[in-house]
Amino acid sequence: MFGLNGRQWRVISHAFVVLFCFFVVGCATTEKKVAVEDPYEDFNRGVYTFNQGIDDYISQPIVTVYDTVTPDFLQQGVGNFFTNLNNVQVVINDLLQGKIQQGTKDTGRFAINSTLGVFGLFDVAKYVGLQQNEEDFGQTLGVWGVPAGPYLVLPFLGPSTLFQGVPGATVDVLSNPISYATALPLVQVLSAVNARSEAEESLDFIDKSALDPYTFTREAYMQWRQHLITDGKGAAQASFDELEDEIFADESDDLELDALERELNASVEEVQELVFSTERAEFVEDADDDSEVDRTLDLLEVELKKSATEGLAILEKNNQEREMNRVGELADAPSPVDLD
Amino acid sequence: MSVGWVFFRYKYLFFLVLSCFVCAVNATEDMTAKDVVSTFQLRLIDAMSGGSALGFDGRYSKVEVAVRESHHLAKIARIVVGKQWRKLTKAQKKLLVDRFSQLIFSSYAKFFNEFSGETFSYVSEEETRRGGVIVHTLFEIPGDEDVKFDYMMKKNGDSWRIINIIANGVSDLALKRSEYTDVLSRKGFDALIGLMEQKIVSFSKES
Repeated sequence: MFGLNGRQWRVISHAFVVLFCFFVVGCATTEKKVAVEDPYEDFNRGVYTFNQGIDDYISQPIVTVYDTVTPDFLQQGVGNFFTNLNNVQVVINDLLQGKIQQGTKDTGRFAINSTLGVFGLFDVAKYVGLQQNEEDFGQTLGVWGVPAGPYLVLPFLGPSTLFQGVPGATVDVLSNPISYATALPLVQVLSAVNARSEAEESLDFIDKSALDPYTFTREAYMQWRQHLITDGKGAAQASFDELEDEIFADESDDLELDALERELNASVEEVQELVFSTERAEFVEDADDDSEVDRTLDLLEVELKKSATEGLAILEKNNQEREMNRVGELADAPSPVDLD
Repeated sequence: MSVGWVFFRYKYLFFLVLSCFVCAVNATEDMTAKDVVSTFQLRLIDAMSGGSALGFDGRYSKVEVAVRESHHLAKIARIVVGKQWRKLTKAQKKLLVDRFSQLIFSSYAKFFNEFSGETFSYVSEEETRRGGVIVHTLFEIPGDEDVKFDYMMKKNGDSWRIINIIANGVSDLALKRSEYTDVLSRKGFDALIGLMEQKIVSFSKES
């Protein structure tokens, strides 16, 4: 991605699995073009903010304590345990989607990890080439041709969709052994804490990097669900088809865009060329003339560092001005007394 | 004055000069779409290898050259704001492309900040119906699952340029377009630029 490394994307994908499949399952369409339906956006944004509050004041502190007091190897074991139990749901959905061969492998995975892996605490199966698959009833509905329907953000549970996500989640809860551990509420709590803990890195990433975390989450979730439903087959082509018309059809702007890019690149190239020519001159010139070369290099170095720090300083100043304006607007706003 | 002394004294400049040489050698005009992608990936791995030793500024310099040479940044910036591009003034367009480019460089410099033996490997490529190319690659992380990276390429003049990157089925261009058009329509151009600038600054501080 533009600026996002592979591990982070894998973690984000995994977080969606954990967050939205463990508790609730999602959406996406079987159509090639992923059109995000969000007719309840205002409501969804409200619930999103509510969920953020719950996360900030309840989930996050609990997870921080959990991460602090639980050694990594134990967290890994707990994660493996719940992932292994989730394979019951994976196998059921393998069969419902007609993936017999994959279903056989996933059954083998569950059997190996439940026995040799000590009730799933150790992921032994991956060492014999049996990778974890991701299947849920929301995907099954997608494979059967049920459309995703409108995007929904559910209280406490997060992203979902009306026609795939909500019914999918219901069936997944029923097919997950953890749901029947009513005599062991601690296990259910641990399952929830583990899920939230595994999602920490990606939630933190979204918080830090997204311009609009709500839209980012919605778009990434819908695309990722589509990827799961199609098992990644043709996902890139589908995405290209979706955007190709826009990329290729409207080329009237291309000259303008090229000019803009050239203009912006020019200043960078100018500095690079200056440095390059000075360096070249340095090696050509007599070694006795060190002092002059030194002075030139010193000046260049100062200039380069200055331009880099100046750029950031301008942006920081802009930020501060915006913040001051915001504070000023708040101060200028009429108080309840004034209104009276 | 020995070359070794100059290196230690002016290593910042040497990184930049080296980048110039790399730019010159790797002029994208004769390169295939696959070559453009693999050169970009090599440079990215190079920046990652520098890790904390390079620092944010060092990584930024490296990825800036890598991204400028391989991506059609102005085109990407134009697509992410959708139809609203035509409503922008020339100065706004320039500002948008500039801040968008800086945000991309900063993101790479922030998130590609360490190296643990990761490699990219080429898988295949396919032509699209309108003459574009998709280059399929794998990002291999030791001890972890591979991540599929698909690069959507478009020819710009004589050079192939990256227009979109799809990681494990998630299209960054589509994702950004949703985000940017949403912010533009809800909050306006100045707010969008403000948010981008906040991110650029925060990325530089959290290195």
